[in-house]
This record gives sequence, structure tokens and C-alpha cells, in this order.
Amino acid sequence: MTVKALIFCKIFHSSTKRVVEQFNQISEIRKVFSLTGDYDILCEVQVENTEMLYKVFSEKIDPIEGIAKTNTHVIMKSWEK
Amino acid sequence: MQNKSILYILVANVLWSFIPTVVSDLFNEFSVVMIIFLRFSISGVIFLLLGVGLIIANNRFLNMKNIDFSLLLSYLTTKNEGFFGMRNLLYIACLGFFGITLQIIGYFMAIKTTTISFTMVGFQLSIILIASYEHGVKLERLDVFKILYLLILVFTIGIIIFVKLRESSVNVEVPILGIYYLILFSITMSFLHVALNKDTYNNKEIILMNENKYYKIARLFIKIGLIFLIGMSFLFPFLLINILIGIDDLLIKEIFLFFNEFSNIFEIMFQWETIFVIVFSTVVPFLLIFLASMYWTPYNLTYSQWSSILNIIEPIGAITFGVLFATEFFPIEYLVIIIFLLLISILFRYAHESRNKVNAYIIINKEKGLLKNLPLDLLKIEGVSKVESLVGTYDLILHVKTNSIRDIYDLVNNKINSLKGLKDVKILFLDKIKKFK
Repeated sequence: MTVKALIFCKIFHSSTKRVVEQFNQISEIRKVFSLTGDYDILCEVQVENTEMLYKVFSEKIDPIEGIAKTNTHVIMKSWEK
Repeated sequence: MQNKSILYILVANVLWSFIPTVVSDLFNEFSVVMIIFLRFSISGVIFLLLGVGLIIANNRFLNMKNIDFSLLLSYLTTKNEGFFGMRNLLYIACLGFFGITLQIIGYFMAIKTTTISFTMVGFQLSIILIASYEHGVKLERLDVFKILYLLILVFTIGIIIFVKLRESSVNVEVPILGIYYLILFSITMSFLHVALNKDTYNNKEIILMNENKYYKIARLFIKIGLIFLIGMSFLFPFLLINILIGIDDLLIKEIFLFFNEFSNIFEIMFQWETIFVIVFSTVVPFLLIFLASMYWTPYNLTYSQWSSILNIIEPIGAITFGVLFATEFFPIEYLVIIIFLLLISILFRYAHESRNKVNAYIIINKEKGLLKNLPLDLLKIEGVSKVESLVGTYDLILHVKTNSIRDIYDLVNNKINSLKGLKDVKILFLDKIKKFK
């Protein structure tokens, strides 16, 4: 059973490139998008369980310099057509 | 997988492009109507059996959620809001008659009465008609690449007509009825292209599709099987009306020949050309197209965009194979120019599609108590490919892909905002993808 989460990130000025490079090193991050709007970057994380989500977030994502603010959403269910 | 799906569309178009060469051989011996009848009735039965077989196999042998036949019946009786509010069965009947019966009569009679290369003008005309529809009705932007693309098509039509006129002055004349069939073919093909995906899934279907991936393909098989078979059931009254009205003597001759050939139907069915047309130019390409659309994962463009880009391969292949394998005469220097121009047109079309495409996420806050049906209602909207329910500040996120920025505002302002229970809707445009596994 995997857990998918979306992490919306607000980035400090001139830090986007550095943050994205750091994201590229994290294997649990499956997709990274550059956004317009309230947030600058959105990354999709896929992990085994919520414990792992906490671990990846606290040990790998949270310490990255240049991230001003994050907002994490866990995906409960998805529908496709 | 991305390249594989695009390759499937390419191969399907190449296989379709063999049709004129193979059928022009058959037309020398058998009735045009017989070839149409055999091609679509047998393919229709094959697709229907594939659909039903897949459902039975799924229910008996696979450890997947059962597919209930009553759900398919509910699809047929559901009102199709994208197609004048008709029930889906009537919508399928319209596709069968206008999109298959009339289109193929126009296509094959144009090949019979004119030439393969002249008939290919119908494809270019159809693309121009669809572009006019998209510009006029769907308000798609005509950018420089689309204009160049359309100009190339008009120019290649001009070259083909010029070659045929030059040929007709020394050889045979292009009959007026050939032009009538060509126009019939272009209009009905445009209709098929525009209307083919106008049906939406109902809520029960969406739920099942997300629990069992085979439902979508079984439904596609049954839909196309019904389109073919209903189309062929319209063939007989259409033929009788033609005999009574008697517009074209050649068609009437073909109709009488068709009825006379019924005693030899099995002999005609087992001609290698007939088998080729049914298996390799109908069943296999449709299977490839279904697979491409079902497993479509490319981020850059949608399936329908790639399908539009590559559909010019069919006339390119048809003219080339006609000259190489059939008794089609076309001056080689003009043929090279046409192929070159049409290949260039693919690049312009790709540039148009990729330049205007918009990828966005729409995040939504909703009112309490709507989580059961609201995601399904949102997923029915054209352009929304995925809906995810979230735990956090926002309740839902929609994955949206549209052909233009105008489409996205239409989607949000007219379609999403017309749904009840939405508190906050925000568009997040995806500028660039940085990582994709």
C-alpha cells in the first residue's frame, strides 16, 4: 500500500534552481512541477506509508535551504478516465 | 511507453493507408458495397465478441471487480449531453450511419470513380473542415503554425487537382459524381472525427473504471462493434432508397451486383485482399488506437492531439502505396513534392499543438457532504483527466490538459463553476516539468 502526497512549496527569491536540483536527488519524489499562483513548486511524493512520508519530509525535504513554506496534502483517492 | 503509444498511432495510420490500394484491386472483381458490407459486419462482430469475451473472461478468470452487463446497458440508455442530449444508443446509430455507412460509401465510390490520389484530397478537405469547426465553434486559436499547416494542405490539394486536370485533358475525365462522393467522404469523415468521443462516462462507470481497468477497453470494443454493426444495418434501407431514387447509375449497378454476389459471399470473404482489409486495415489499427488511448501517458500532448498530428500519414501512405503497388499514375516529381510538403505539415501541426497546449492543476475547496459525487461530476468535464481527493488545506485537485488558454478559462468559468458546492477554485499553471519517473 503506497501513500501519495502533494507538497506545495513557496521558494525564496533566486532559490528555485537550487531547490529543484535537491529535489532531483530525492528518489521518493516522483514529479516536480513549476507553478504559477500561490506556490512556486509542486512535488509529488510516493512512499510506503505515512511513517515514511514523515521521514522523507523531515529528513530530506524540510532541511533544504531556499524553501520558504510548504503545504502538504495526502491523496486519499484518485479517479481517472 | 510514451514512444510506444505514439508508434501505435503511426502504425495504425500506415495500416489504414493500405486500404485504397487493396480495395481498388477488389473493386475490379467485386461490388464496392459487398466489400463495405463484409469489412464492417465482420469487424463489428469481432469487436463485439472481443468486448463480450473480455467481460466474461474478467468475471470468470481474473481476480478483478466484476463487470456487470447491465452497466453497459445503462451506458446505452444514458443521455449524451455532448451530443444534443440524445440517448447513447441513438448517438451510436448516428455515428454508424453518417460516420461509417455514408463515409465509406463516399470513400470507396470516390476511389472507384476517380483515383486513389484524387480521393486523398478528401482527407485534406476533412482536416480543413475540422479546423474550421474548431476555430468557429470551439474558438481554437489559429496561430501562425496552424495557418501554415492549413495552407500546405490547400496547396497539396491544388497540386493533386492540377495533376488530375492535366491528366484528364489527355486521358480520362474525372466524373462529377466522383467529386460528389469525395465531398460526401470529407464531410462524413469530419463528422466522425468531431463526434466520436462526445459520449461521457456515467458515475457508476467512472467508479468501475477506477476499480477495473478492463472496463474501459471492453466498453470501447462494444461501442465500436455497435457503430459498425448498426452502420451496416442502415446499409440495406440506404441501398433500397438509392435504387428507388436512382441518383447514380454506377452505384445502382454496384448495388445489384452486391445482391447477385450474395451466393458467393464466402468466396469473396476468403480472398486475401478481403482478409487483409478486415484484419490488418480495420481490426488491428483500431486495436492499436485503443491501446494507445488507454495507456496514454505522455505528458507533453494528449492522445487526441497526437492523433490529429499523425492522421496526415494516412493520405501520404495511400498515395505512395497507390503509385507503388496499384495501377495508379502520378508524376513522380509531383508525388515527391506532395510527400515532402505533407511531412513538413506534420511539423507545423506539432508546433501548433505543443505551443498552445496548457497543463494546469485546479485546486478546489468544497462544501461539506459532496465528496461522493462531486469528483465524478468534475471528471466528466472535457479536459479534466484526473481528480484526486486530498487531506489538507484543499479538498480536490484536478489534472487539466487543454488545447489553449481560452479552453481553460471556459472550463473553469462555464463548466466547473456551474457545479454546486464549490467554495474556492484556484488555477495553478504548470510551467515546466522538472522530474518525471
